[in-house]
Amino acid sequence: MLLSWLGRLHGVFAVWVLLFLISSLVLAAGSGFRADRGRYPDSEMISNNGRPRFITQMFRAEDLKNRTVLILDAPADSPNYIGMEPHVIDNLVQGLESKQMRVVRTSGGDPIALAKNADVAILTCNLQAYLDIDFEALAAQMKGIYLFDYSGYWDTAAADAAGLLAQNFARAYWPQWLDPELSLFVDYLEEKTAPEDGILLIPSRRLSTTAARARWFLALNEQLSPRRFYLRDPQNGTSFVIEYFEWVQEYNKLQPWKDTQKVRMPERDFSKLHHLSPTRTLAPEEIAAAQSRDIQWILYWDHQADFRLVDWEIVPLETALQWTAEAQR
Amino acid sequence: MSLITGLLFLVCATLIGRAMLPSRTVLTRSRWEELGVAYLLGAGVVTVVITAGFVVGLSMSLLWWLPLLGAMVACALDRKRQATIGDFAQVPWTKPIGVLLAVLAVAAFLATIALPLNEFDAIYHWAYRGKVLLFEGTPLNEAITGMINDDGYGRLVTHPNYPFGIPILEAWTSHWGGWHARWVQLPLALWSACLPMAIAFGLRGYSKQAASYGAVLTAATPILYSYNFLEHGFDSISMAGLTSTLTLGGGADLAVMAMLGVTCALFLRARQLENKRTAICAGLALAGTVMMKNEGLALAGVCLLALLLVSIFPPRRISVAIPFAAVAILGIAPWLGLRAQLPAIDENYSEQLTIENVSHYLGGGRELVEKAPIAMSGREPVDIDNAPARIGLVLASFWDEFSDLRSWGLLWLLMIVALPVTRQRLLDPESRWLTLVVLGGISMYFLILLVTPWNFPSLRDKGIPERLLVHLVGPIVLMFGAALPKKDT
Repeated sequence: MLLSWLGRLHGVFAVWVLLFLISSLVLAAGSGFRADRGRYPDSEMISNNGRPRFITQMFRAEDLKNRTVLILDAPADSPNYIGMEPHVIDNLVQGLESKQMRVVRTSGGDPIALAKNADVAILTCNLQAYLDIDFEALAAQMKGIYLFDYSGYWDTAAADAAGLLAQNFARAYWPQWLDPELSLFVDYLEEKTAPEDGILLIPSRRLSTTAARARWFLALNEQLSPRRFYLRDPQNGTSFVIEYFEWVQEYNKLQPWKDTQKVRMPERDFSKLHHLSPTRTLAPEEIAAAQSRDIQWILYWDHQADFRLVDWEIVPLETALQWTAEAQR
Repeated sequence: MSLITGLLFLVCATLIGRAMLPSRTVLTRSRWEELGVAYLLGAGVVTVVITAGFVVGLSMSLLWWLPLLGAMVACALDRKRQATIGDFAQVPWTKPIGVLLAVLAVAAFLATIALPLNEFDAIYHWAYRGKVLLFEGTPLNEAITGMINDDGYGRLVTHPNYPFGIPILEAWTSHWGGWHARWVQLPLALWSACLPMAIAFGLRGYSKQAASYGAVLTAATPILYSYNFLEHGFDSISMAGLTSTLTLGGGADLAVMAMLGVTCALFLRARQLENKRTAICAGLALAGTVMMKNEGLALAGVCLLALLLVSIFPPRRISVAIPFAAVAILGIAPWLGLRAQLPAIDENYSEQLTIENVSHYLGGGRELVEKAPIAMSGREPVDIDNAPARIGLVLASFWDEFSDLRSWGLLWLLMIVALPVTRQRLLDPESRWLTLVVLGGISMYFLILLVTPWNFPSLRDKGIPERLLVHLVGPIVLMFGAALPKKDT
């Protein structure tokens, strides 16, 4: 008796299962049977204290008083407001002003009109007018190129096209393979390289994060198969997240970039931020690794949790070798 | 075109599996039970045979034809035995139950293919391998084997020595029409739909009512589709089918679950009927379990050890035990040969599972907090001296799962009440075997997690142990069905 009753009680969970399956199907249909980033939870600010360290460290201390920061904010009672808590913005403003930086707040107003001569622009909320901002117009007004996106909503590819460097400081909850800039870059590499090509991944400089999301090479390796991607110490770089932390630390200890030189590209195929390309000369061990394999391309990258076009550059192996040879002359 | 190739696979696998089963006069079954068992058996056999083909140097483009040829041969054999195969038995369930099972099966199938591959393991562990098989034709290629080299540089591949069952099915589907991130999931979309049929088939030898119960209990177990659904309340319903807590899709855990479930169902019937052909099918299904994920090998060990233990006492049923074990071992052997040629970089459980390690952690050995995820800056230092005991963390996680109704329903309670604690149940040798498989499986996963070289809380975040325990749904429901008294059902 007990067994059959318990069995029947368990059978009731069929309703729970049906709720899940029907929800899945209806929601999938609602997004065109695609995994839509919009269905994931809103991005969240990583910093809840408003410390201005990331902004102030970009400039020399004695130069801070000559710098202007534009803060794109809005009243927290705006409809559907998602963004920094008002007190966090206040902390940020105070922190910047204590360093003698000039701060301009938009408070829901037109940011383009207020952006004149700004060195940095900071997005703190999801106000639609700010998300749809005309980056070309913003770039024309600003003196600097730095955009700090604390809400995770700005289209960094559009900013890049306008010559602005957007840095996403929000924690995204959608998976890395849904990143729109990643998709653009995959399409670009598909055209640029042949399926049988070999590509050596070279970090431009110190790996600055242990965020698991920064392993963009996993996505490139899968999406661009059968292209052959090569990485240093891939058994740790691609393994469980704990080995990956060790991989980051080991790479930073090894520092193959230490005795190399940064190479500024006069022209870039994809990113408009020519002077910020991650290109550099190659270390001897990197040259040996490339030449001992059937490798046609060097893919430079800057290790970041957010995929930005500016952080990635692919050049033919010969070009990278030529840069290295010229630097040694 | 990939859609058509995927559908073609469903047909081929079902035909192959159906041809392998004994006639319906020997092994009674309904049409739906036959379809469920046949598909799982056929899919398992395809992965076993193609894996063996890789070992002898054949490429995927050549091996691709084998299931097609197999299906043709199966059709010819089927026509030949048309007169003797017998009629289908009646379905064991009532019409409303049948409708419920059909709705759940169709919805699970559609939910699997509703989105393209959208989960870490499905993409980076399995789809990458599937693409390697599609483009390179063999796992013995630099794309899998070229990870470790003297100069430190190598190819990118996650867990290079994972088996190739899922990738084989995906690559097969992509043979005509190329890779399609939605349609490659077609062969994987039937695991949850077929398991209830296989369980009903396994329990038919006890009673029709037990078979009906088994099917419903299986289909109603939430983790067959997702776990932790609505963990954050109804607001999170918008994430249904989207999170990494989805078990449907391109992952391998449901594949292991379905293959182990059909193995146990077939072997149960084989033992009850003392039918060698059914035992051979069960052995092949067990080999198929091993092809789906690395835990399959450990589960095969548990099944065979359980068989050895139940064979100590009569009735031993050696005539079915030997073909089952022999075919399973023969089917698994090529994979072991292949695996020996692949880099083993992590998850080397057998290396960790030493008496020293087990006794260290059983005795209160601390968690490996120094292996905890640490950011490069801005985090608090790890307190190594005051790290909690690993055993406490693992026990707590198992308890969390056993009491998690939203993922498991009452499955664990059903398992406990079905334990062979009465004389009647103890006298049922099949019940004894199933109990050993279930308890052996749980113990094995407990021991593995006790000695894992990784930080256990990090594993917990990744859905461990629930993604391992889901493998045991089939034998648990069979065990419960076997314990149901006829008069009570």
